[in-house]
Order: sequence, then C-alpha cells, then structure tokens
Amino acid sequence: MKSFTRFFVAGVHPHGMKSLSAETPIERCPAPKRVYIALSQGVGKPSHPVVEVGDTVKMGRLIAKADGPVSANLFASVSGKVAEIAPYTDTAGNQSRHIVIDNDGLDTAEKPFTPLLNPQPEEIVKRVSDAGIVGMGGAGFPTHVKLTPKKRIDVYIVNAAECEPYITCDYRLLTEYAEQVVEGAFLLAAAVGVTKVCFGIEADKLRAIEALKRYKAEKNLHNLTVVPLKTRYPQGAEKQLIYAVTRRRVPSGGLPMDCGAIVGNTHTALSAYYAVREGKPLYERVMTVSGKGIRKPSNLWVRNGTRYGDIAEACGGELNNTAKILNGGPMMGASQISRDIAVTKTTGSLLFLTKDEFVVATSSPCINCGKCGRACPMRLMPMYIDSFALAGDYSGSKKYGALECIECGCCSYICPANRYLVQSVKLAKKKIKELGL
Amino acid sequence: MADNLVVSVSPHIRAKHTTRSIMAHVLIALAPAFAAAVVFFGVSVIAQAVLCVAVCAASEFLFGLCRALAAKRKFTKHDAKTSSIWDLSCVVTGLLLALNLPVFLKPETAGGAAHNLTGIFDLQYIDWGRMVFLCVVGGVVAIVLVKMAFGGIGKNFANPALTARIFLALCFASFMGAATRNILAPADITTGATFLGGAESEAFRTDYLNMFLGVKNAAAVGEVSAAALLLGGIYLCVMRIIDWKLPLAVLLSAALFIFLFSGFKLELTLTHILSGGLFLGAIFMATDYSTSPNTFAGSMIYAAGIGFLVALIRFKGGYPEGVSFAIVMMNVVTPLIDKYVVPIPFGGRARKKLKTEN
Repeated sequence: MKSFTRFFVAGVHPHGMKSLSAETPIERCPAPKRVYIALSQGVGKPSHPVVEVGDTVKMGRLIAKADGPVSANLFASVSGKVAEIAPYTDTAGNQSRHIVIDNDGLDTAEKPFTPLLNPQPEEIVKRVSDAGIVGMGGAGFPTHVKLTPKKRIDVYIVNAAECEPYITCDYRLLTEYAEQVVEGAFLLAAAVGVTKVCFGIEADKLRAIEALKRYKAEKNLHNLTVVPLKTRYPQGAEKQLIYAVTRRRVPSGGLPMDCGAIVGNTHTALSAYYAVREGKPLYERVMTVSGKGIRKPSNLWVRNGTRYGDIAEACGGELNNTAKILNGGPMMGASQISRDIAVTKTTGSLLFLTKDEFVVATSSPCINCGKCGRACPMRLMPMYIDSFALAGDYSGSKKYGALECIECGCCSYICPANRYLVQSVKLAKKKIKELGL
Repeated sequence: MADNLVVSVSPHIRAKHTTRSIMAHVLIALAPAFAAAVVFFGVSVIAQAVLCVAVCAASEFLFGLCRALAAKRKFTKHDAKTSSIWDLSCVVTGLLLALNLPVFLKPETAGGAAHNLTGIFDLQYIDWGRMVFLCVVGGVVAIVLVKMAFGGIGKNFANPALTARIFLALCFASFMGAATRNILAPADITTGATFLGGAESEAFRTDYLNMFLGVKNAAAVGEVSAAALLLGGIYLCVMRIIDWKLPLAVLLSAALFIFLFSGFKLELTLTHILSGGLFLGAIFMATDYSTSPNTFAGSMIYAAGIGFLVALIRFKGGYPEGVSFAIVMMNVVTPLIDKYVVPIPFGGRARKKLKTEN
C-alpha cells in the first residue's frame, strides 16, 4: 500500500480551529424577513433580472437570468413580494444591484424543473446551467462552463480538502449527506463522460472519510476513490489538489483540463444532485458560522440573500467583542465592512472573530529569510516579486512568477517581518496585465 | 449595533514568528555556547559580551539618530520606540561578535604565566584595555560598516559579526592572535591559538570526546565546545528557525573536502572538524538569513562552497583558521547564487504566448 497520506510541496500549517463547529450537526437557519439577492455572485457577468418590483414570487422561481455564457441564473430563496431592485453593499464592499424580496413567511415552493432519473450528459450540463450552479468553494465560477471542456477528461475530483481554518461545512456535508454528494459527483462526472470519481480529503476528517467509505462499500462503487491527504494549507487549492490526488501537474498557465482532470467543490456536487434528481435550483446552501465572537458556532442551511445580522441571530447572537467579520476563511477570506451585507452562493463560511483571533500586522523590513519561498506551494519567490513590485519594476516581478501565484497567502502568513506579500503580488499581476508586459 | 469592524487584507492570521522572536530564539540557542565559553575561559567573557552587545545596540541606535539628523528631521520619541534595535538583531550580532573574539590575556602572560589561570573567576591576567578596544572597534565595524551602511537588517552583504572578526584579525593581528588559554584544558595543551595554528602548538589529538565537549584550546571563546553549539543548533532546528539541512551540509562538505585535501586521513579529518570555528560557523554563521541563499538548491551550492574554501584555506593557505573567510566569501557569492538558482514554478515554466494579441 502506498503511504497513508498524500501531499503537495511546501505550504503552511495554521491552527485549524475546526473543533468550534466540526461536531455541530447541520441545522436550518430561519428565513429572514427580507432577502437581498446580489445580481453578481462570483466571477462572470452579473445576472439580468427577470422580475419587476411588486411581483409575487414563489420560492425557487427564476428571478434573474444568466447574461452570457459565464454567468449564472438566480432563484428566489423565499416566497413573497419583490420590494426593490437597488444597489446595496455586496460582499466585496462595493455597491451593486440586489433584488430585495419581502418574505411572506409561507415558503410556498415551486419546482421549476422535473427530476431526471436517467439523464444524458447534455441534459445534466443543461440542468446544472439552468439551476444556476456555480463553484461553491469561493470563486463562484459557473459549473456548466467547467462541464464543457475542450480536452479529454478521465477523472473527476471532488475537492473536500477544506484546508482553511474554521470551515467545517464540507466536512458536515460529507458526514451527513454522503450519499447525495457522491451521487451528485457521479452525475457531474457523467456529464463530461467520466466514470472515475476521486474524493480528495484531508486525513484528519475521519468521520467524513468513514462515511464515504461506508457508502462506497454499501453500493459497491468501484469507481469511487477516497484519497486521504496530508492536513496542510493550501491542500484544497486546485493545482495542489490535482497533484496530491493524481500526481499530475497542471501546466503553467493552463487549466485542470490540460491534465485530464476536473475539480469540483463538495457542495457543488450536492447542489447538482438536488438540481438533477429533485429539480431543485440553487437558492440555499450550507455554511459554517464560527469564530469566538458568535455564541453558538454552527453549520447552517442558509438562504441566498440572508444578511449577516440575521445569521448571527440564528446562532444565538454575537458576543459583544466581535471585532471582525470574514466572508470565507482567515487565509483568503475578505473582511466585511458591515453586518448589512447578504451572503451569496459562494459564502462557505461566515466568521465572527474576536480581537485575539486575527492579526493586523505592521510590516518591517524584509530580513531575507526565504521562508516565503519555502512555503510557496507554487514554488515562486515572493520576496523578489515583492521587492520588484514595490520598486515599480513589474517585469522583474513577472520573471519571478507573479502570474503563477494562486494568492493562497502562505507567504504573508509565514513572513516573520509581516510583509504584505500577497498584496504585492496582486498589484504586480494587475500591473503586468495593464501594461501588457 | 454600530458596525465597528476591523477591515484589513488577507491573510487574517499570521504565523507566530516575528523578526524579533526569531532573534530571541537565536539568543536562547546561543546560551549554551556562551555558558561553555564562560566555564572554559572565565567570567571576563561575560564582560566582553556585555560590551559587544552594548556597542552594537548603541551604534545602531546612533546610526538611526544620525540619519534622522542628516535628513533634517527631528528624532522623536516615536523614532526611538520604532528604532531597528528593538528587533534584537543587533543583540545577536553583538553576542556572536563576543563569541568570535579570543579571551584577552595580558601580553606578558603569553609565555608560561597563562598556565597560572586557575579558575573562571581569576581575572588578574585579563587585559581590559585590549578587550575594550577590540570590542568597540569590532562592534562599530559590524553594525555601521557591514549592516547599516548597506541598508540595515536583511541588506547586509556579509555576516556582520564574522566580517568584524576578519577585520580585527587582519588589522590587529597581534592583538587578536595573542595568548588564549582554556582553563580546564590540560597544561600540555599550550597557549597557541588552536591545533590548527601548527602541529607543534597543540599535539595532534584523537581524544574526540574531550574535543567535542570543549576541553581544548580555541582561537575564539565561542568555538570551544562543539557540544554546546550543537545543542543550540538542535534548538534552532526544532523551533524551525533554521533548516537543519544547511548546517549539516556545511559540516559534511567541510569533512569531505578536508578528507580529500588531507590525503584520505580519517582521524585528521575528525580532529579538523572538532577544532576551530566549524561548528560555530555552520550552525550560527552560515545560516544567517540575509547572507545565505533563499532556495534549497542554492543553499547546497553555498554549503559546498564553504566546505571547499575551509579545506583550501586550512591546507593550502597561510592562515590557520579558514571558516570565517570561507563563510564571508560565500556570503558575497550568495546574490549570484540567488540570481541563477531560481526554482521552476509548479507546473513548469510558462510557455511563450502562442497567440499574438492585436
């Protein structure tokens, strides 16, 4: 037998903090009085509203249509009346258009799709596209685009690594909904003509691995492989995950399909299952609400468009020492400017952090220790990218691999001088594109 | 509730090591070697350490002050609080410098009188004037000339403490090379610098355990006990301050090249490894962040270079102790290594653009 765990090179090992919410079963977050559904949820063009102010909508009704191929449909997450379509602060801190629906509290549902029992690949792709399914790990890339690769694919990998601290929603999903997730993954795999599905999961998530293995044994699924991975950040980064699971390297500047793999999030697989088998579009998701600033850290089914304040109430309220709210994990998540912002399809976790849980670092001169280079999972040299970028020499930054950066934040995390290395790299990337270097 | 939220960029958590904590760990790691130096050479070592650290810290602080004055800026309390001396790197430099100096015995004790030293509190043979002079000059050279003049921490071209040692050894050769005496070493080990100073000054030794523990003579007080240095080195590796591969590579490459240069004499090689500054150099000097390569491959080239130069200087050069020179020479080569040894990004080099954009 091969070694127990597989790994990629480098990375860091931040404190997991997962015990706060890991053993809390998934519950339902009560629907708020109003939902604020952002038209732009993830990469791609904002969706185009197809309802008017004053319309009565049922839960599951299409309210905004995809605008172009890289965009996704949006569905009403409550039943009620469309109150307004107006700009509100979004998760990135910008003002963008939201559809606001007043909840009538009845949850009258409509199922816009018929369940498919024996779908053809094209039908699956169409359904995934119609149901507005996007990559639910953070970027929100529309899944149907991924499912129409231009190259031959031979393995579908489910990203269940969940390497960011605090986040436990994928772990809970796998322990409680193993069957649905696995079936969903096989559906997505079938959509690209692949029969082999691999689950990449960090080795310390024992119950999730156990649940997957139990289901595999029960159904005698030969094509399902559960690959335990070393617990290390960023194990769930696409290229690192593909390498850890298959030993294939995504070529520089390439996509996973260049090495015959497609990676999808755990929750994406679950959503695909619901869309195909039950005809339910994507309007709610499971997310982790955690941090020491919240009274009851939980894993919750939350409707798209619920504001942070409402979610906090559902978790027993905030303790009065919350100092920072994060959408996403502490390594890559974005800190939020207000509690009046609504979650989107890509919000996998909402963290209420107290002052001792995060660091606002004051940077000091680089001591040239090279720790950033050793931690970089892409094997770049962040210290040189940083110094070239700060000196305004962006071609120098490019030479040391700025464009390859996956922005995982390992370099900044490990830096003893607390330098803002990721931000320098992001700046360099932007400038290289602008200047056409 | 008011939205009194902190908004800052990711990552929101940071590893616990800071520049300052790293330097503090290095100081802790130097403690055993320092203790060994005190035990083997007497309490005057404490005085020279305090002096070196004070001179280093003061000259770094004054450098900041002068820079503010030169820029016609007021040197405020805030400047003093944020001065670079608080990252403790000048303290590390000071302590390393002190450990790289000999014990200062009065010139007239050079002959037999040094044998009269009886215990660590025996101070009557200590040459205080020479100690103060060399510590002050060494500290100023290390901090002002090598470190601050090139831009402060991280920008120095070579290890400050080692460069100062070389500076002192070349400019004040008679001052530096004079008598030194290990209190606990048997009297037949005479006062010459080390066994490396010539076969006649210290007998060719094969009692490796004694040499390893520090019952031997040494040109610099910090070099005396390989055991104490190794203890500190293990601490640094366990605390993940340094990568264990670099010091090991330096020691192995030095052993290999000494073995080759000595004409395949295993015992002589072992004696060479345990004498002189090889352990101090490999563990505390070669691993200096600013002046060692940033990649693993680069650091192996660097380590090989140090080993080769040590052997070359010891066997073919006119200078008995080669470690300082070898390390400083490879320090200077480091930018070149870093320039050419660049890791290939994960997934291979970016292919050239196939499409031409118009």
